[in-house]
Amino acid sequence: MFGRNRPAVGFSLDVKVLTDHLNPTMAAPGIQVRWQEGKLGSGMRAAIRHLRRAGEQVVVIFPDESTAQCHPACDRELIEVDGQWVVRAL
Amino acid sequence: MSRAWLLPEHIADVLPSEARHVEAFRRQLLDMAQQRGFELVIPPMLEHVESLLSGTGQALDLMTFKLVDQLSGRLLGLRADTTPQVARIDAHLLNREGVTRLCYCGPVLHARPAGLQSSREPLQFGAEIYGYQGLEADLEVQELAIDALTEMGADGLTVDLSDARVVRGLFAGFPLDAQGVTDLVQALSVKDASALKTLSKNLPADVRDGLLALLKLFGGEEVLDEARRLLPDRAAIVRALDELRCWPPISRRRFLILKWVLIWVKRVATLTTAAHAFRSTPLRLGMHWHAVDATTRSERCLDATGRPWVSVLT
Repeated sequence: MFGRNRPAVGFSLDVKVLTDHLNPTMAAPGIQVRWQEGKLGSGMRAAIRHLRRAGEQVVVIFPDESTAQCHPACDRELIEVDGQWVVRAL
Repeated sequence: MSRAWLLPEHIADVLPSEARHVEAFRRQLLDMAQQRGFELVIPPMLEHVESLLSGTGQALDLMTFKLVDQLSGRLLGLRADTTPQVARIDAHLLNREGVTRLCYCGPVLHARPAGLQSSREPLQFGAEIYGYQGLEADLEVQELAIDALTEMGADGLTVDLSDARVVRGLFAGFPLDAQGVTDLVQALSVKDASALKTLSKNLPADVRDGLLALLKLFGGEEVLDEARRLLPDRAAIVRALDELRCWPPISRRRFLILKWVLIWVKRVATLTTAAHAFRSTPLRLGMHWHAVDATTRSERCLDATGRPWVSVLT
């Protein structure tokens, strides 16, 4: 084949078909943080960046956005308490 | 109502929940391959058909979407199987003398669906070892396939073992043209006893009987004894059967179900002959994963062509 006779061994599979039949580990719910005007310099961005670097999914909720049906799902929120940005359960 | 947004048959969007799962599996598979030294390659989605279908069979040709290149006027094909492209990369672009381990993961397009429920746009992951004749390469590939499926949560794996030397050993020494062999293999693939009888009518009685016996030679280890009794006593066949008997150390250790299927039916019948064209070592391993559908209670079986089984071939 292609001008060279090389022994070969291998396998292939359809990832989509596997997905139909296997249950992958569910992604951990994320952390939501409400966009707050004037808070950009308050450490909010740094706190978000820190969480994301640690592997967390952090979703910024826009000013008029409803969180009733947040996609992706979040089970925690990042809020400012006494000048400190902390994560707490929703 | 507008039909403009309807997708072609057997083509579907992958929505967020499923896409997350697909991507998680894709990353997992590529990571596992990378941990074993398989280098990632990304062949193009389309190529000139003469390159894409070089040395492949009619089945892959029929599966391949074709279009005309507006720049050159030449006929292009959208890949229906990435394996021949990766073989081309090994043979032509890398052109290494030693062993090459390559893996890939990307969409392929099928002009015709492989089955009633099959997508025409599978996401094909594969791993290949080139340039090593020994069975150690088979083991390495088998280990990767088993590890990958196990880690992704598949249980009830079945490994099917076969050996191309059995069929080759039956044909050996008899003047058969390429089309004759293709027709016989096709009849074996679909277990068409009547076609097999017609096609083999001019072959010696022991070869004809052996071909027909192959249709029933599947099952547990006792099949190997049965094969010794029913197949002609030729060195190539005897050696293949003996090696099959002592082959699967990894599988046994893992308590997988082993089956011996002395004709390789599914891949030959359903995918392409292309996959075999450059698989020159004799042993063929098939890994079947069976899952019981919770709603219909029907058993489903996975395969590389859209049918849910995973094949490990040589």
